[in-house]
Amino acid sequence: MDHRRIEEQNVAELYVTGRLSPEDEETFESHLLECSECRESVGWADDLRTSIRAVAAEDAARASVQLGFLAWVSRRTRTARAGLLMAALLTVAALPAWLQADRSRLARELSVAKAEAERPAAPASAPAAPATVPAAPDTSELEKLAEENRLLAEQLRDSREQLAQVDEPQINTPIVSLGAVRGEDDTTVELGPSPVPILLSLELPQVEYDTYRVTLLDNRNKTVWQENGLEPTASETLTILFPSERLKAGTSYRFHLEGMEPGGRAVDVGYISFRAVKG
Amino acid sequence: MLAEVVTARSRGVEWSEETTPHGSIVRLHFPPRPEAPAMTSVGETSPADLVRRIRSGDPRAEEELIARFGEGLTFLLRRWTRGHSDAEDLYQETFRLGLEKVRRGEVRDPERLAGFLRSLARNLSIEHYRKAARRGSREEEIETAADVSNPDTGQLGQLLRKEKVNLVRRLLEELGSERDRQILFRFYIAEEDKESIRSDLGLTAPEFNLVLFRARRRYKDLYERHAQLGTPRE
Repeated sequence: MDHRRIEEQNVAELYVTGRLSPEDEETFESHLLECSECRESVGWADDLRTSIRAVAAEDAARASVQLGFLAWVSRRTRTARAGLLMAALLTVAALPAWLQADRSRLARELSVAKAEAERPAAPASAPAAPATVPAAPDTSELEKLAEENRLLAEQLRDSREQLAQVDEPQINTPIVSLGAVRGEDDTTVELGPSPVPILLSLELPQVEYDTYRVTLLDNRNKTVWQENGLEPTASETLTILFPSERLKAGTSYRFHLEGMEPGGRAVDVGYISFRAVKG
Repeated sequence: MLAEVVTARSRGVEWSEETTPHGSIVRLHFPPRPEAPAMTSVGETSPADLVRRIRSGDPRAEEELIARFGEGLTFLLRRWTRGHSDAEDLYQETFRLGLEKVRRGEVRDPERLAGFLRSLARNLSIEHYRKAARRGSREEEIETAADVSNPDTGQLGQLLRKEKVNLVRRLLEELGSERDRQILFRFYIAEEDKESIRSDLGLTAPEFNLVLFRARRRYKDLYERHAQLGTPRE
């Protein structure tokens, strides 16, 4: 593996985000065994990735609180709540990018449709186009997509306006990164005087399963919360926006992580501990 | 009234707290990242030659193998185990088993010695965690793990992470265009396919790669400058 290709193709970035093919990953890791320069590049790329994700998580949590979104979410069912919270995170963190992507896609489809419309009509006796030729996009479908795009843009604008109306900045929104690697003390989660969401980012150990079951246990081993079928991100983390009112100050908690095998059997993967304290 | 300054050092990270009439200011003095050593020389002894010497019973060749691949193996094991103390055991086990196999002539392609060691370490790591999961002892291992050398843990680690987050905010502000910000967000957060990002934004592969490359380099520059100045925490 030569350094020119590694630099030009951002192999370090692709590696830390899990985008290399298994073969390329194996080749690059074998190269890393001997190359300190590339190990350093991986270190920086990893650092940048972690920090950018933290920025997005902070912004998402802050926006969710300020919009009063959680008050509404807390009245939903557990499953709906998880979905809505993820949607909130994505909305705030990635919606601008997605809107842009959607806009580009629409523009492309519109130009195809225009080209089709401007093409002279085929003579009546011409043979039918083979089935493999793609049909021109349905204009009603395009209008529908454009309308959806417009609505999303409106929602984003409304959200930004609501955020702009908040006079006081929200400070110290609790964001806790929890992993199997710990220092001398348990990670503490500070609970404020009033209920707020806490953004918990769980780092999964290096055991790969398609889905996980996560159970939050208190110090008496009582289940506080459980969710099945959680799919990890490519970077093997699970992000959970958790309502602080479900935690008690002075209590130690553990997340029990289980990988789900295809047959439905749960395999113990690990525990991540933390302690809730009064903020 | 003079400001009172308290300086402390923990796990290699130095910080100070200055108490002023208007409140306290925490300054975190970033540890300089270790200078990258020069690239490992691979030209002196070919992997095949190293394998041949080990097979012939040359103890210095075994030492050479450990010196050559030890640092890289530690790096990979720490990534795979997320810095867990298991990495140390796996390191020992990989070299023990690896050397045994080399001595017995079980390395099929000696020129691919690095690939052989990497595969061995990877398999040992996976097997280790499978066994631990079956025994149900993972909890105990995690509970007793105390990686004091890792400054990214505990309250100080959280403070360090906050500083890095501030650096990234600055980096995002400095980016020349909204398009570049989009690339970073879509690549690192939405985890979109590289090709679809490129196609949506109408970028060539070199243009796309340049944005990622510059972002990493700028982040590194900001960190290193920050480490020198000890910029106060906001």
